[in-house]
Amino acid sequence: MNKWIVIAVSIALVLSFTLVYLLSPNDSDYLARYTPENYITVAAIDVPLDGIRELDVVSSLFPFSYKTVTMDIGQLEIRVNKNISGNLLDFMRQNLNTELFSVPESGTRLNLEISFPRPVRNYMAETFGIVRIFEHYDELMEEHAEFMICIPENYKLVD
Amino acid sequence: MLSQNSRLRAMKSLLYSYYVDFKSFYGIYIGIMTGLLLSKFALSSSASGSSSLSAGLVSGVFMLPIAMIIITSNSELLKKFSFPVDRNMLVLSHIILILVLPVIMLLTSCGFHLLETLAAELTLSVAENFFYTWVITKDSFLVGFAMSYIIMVCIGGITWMVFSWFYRHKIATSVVCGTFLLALVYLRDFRDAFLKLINFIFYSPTPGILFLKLSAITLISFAAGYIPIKRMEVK
Repeated sequence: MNKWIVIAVSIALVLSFTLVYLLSPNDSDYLARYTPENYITVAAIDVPLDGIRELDVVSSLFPFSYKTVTMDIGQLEIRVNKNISGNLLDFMRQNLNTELFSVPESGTRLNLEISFPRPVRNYMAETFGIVRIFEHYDELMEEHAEFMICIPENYKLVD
Repeated sequence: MLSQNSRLRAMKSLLYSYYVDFKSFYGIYIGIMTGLLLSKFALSSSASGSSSLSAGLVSGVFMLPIAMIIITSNSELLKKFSFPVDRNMLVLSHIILILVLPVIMLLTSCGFHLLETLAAELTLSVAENFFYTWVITKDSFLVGFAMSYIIMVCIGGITWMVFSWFYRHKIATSVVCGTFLLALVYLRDFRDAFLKLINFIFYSPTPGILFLKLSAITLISFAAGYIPIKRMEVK
């Protein structure tokens, strides 16, 4: 009896390894999910387009991650990745709040605040964290972002 | 031939006795992983935090040294001796444990990862404010598995070596380890040199090189840990 339990558990463990491997995309397929074409605009905000200006994302988008991209666009846009499981796109269209404040002292700086009025839960089925000690895999994992903040070319992002 | 068969049978029974001992150890590991899974989905509002794969590595890194501390103790070693089990067979069985336990732990973490994904799918069907993403690639999974394995084996090997010495030569090992720790805390040059060594080991451009470096450290630990256990025969 005991022997059969051990055999069954061993098969289940090997199968789970195989399944995780088979369910995972290869690097190029994974990267293809996070190209700009996979992000859809859920909010667009008019911003001054004259002169060199600065933008500071002052709020945390927790539990989501985001990346910022400078583009030849006329508005500041907040885009959501369409490949996230669950209807994130529709949810954010209905529940995303964005506010833009100008910082009077600087004259050129804008603060962007993003919030979700309803609670959200996000789970990331991540790989072994240890791979991040290698630059290649760290960069690969950094590509993952649920949000993309697109800023016009005359804006510089404040670190 | 008869002697070989007898040794083989003794090795099998020795490994079986370790298997019986480690059932409770594995039960604790399963308990930790289940607790983390439940806390992530039932108690946490964000379902964030590290996934089961990383949690499996961290739990293993803490649990494996504890197992090594236990199996190298005098009382545990003496429990396993019954003719024809000798020190060589005992060390070999310990090495097999150090090599096999991390695989079992990591494979179990893969199973928990699938359970997590299943829980995420179920939550997705009932909650409209829940979202999840699969952030694993084939390469990163294999490399992560191999690296996690060798790190666990290396830490297990080092702990096994240190405690093999400690239980046989308590005062000498305590003095050496204590001096090492004090030097690490109080001597800046020593600390810098040690950190440089750690940096040299872990600063590897490729996973393969790092795997080889950690394998070499593990082999040295096995060799160094064998000496005090082998010397018990003379006594």
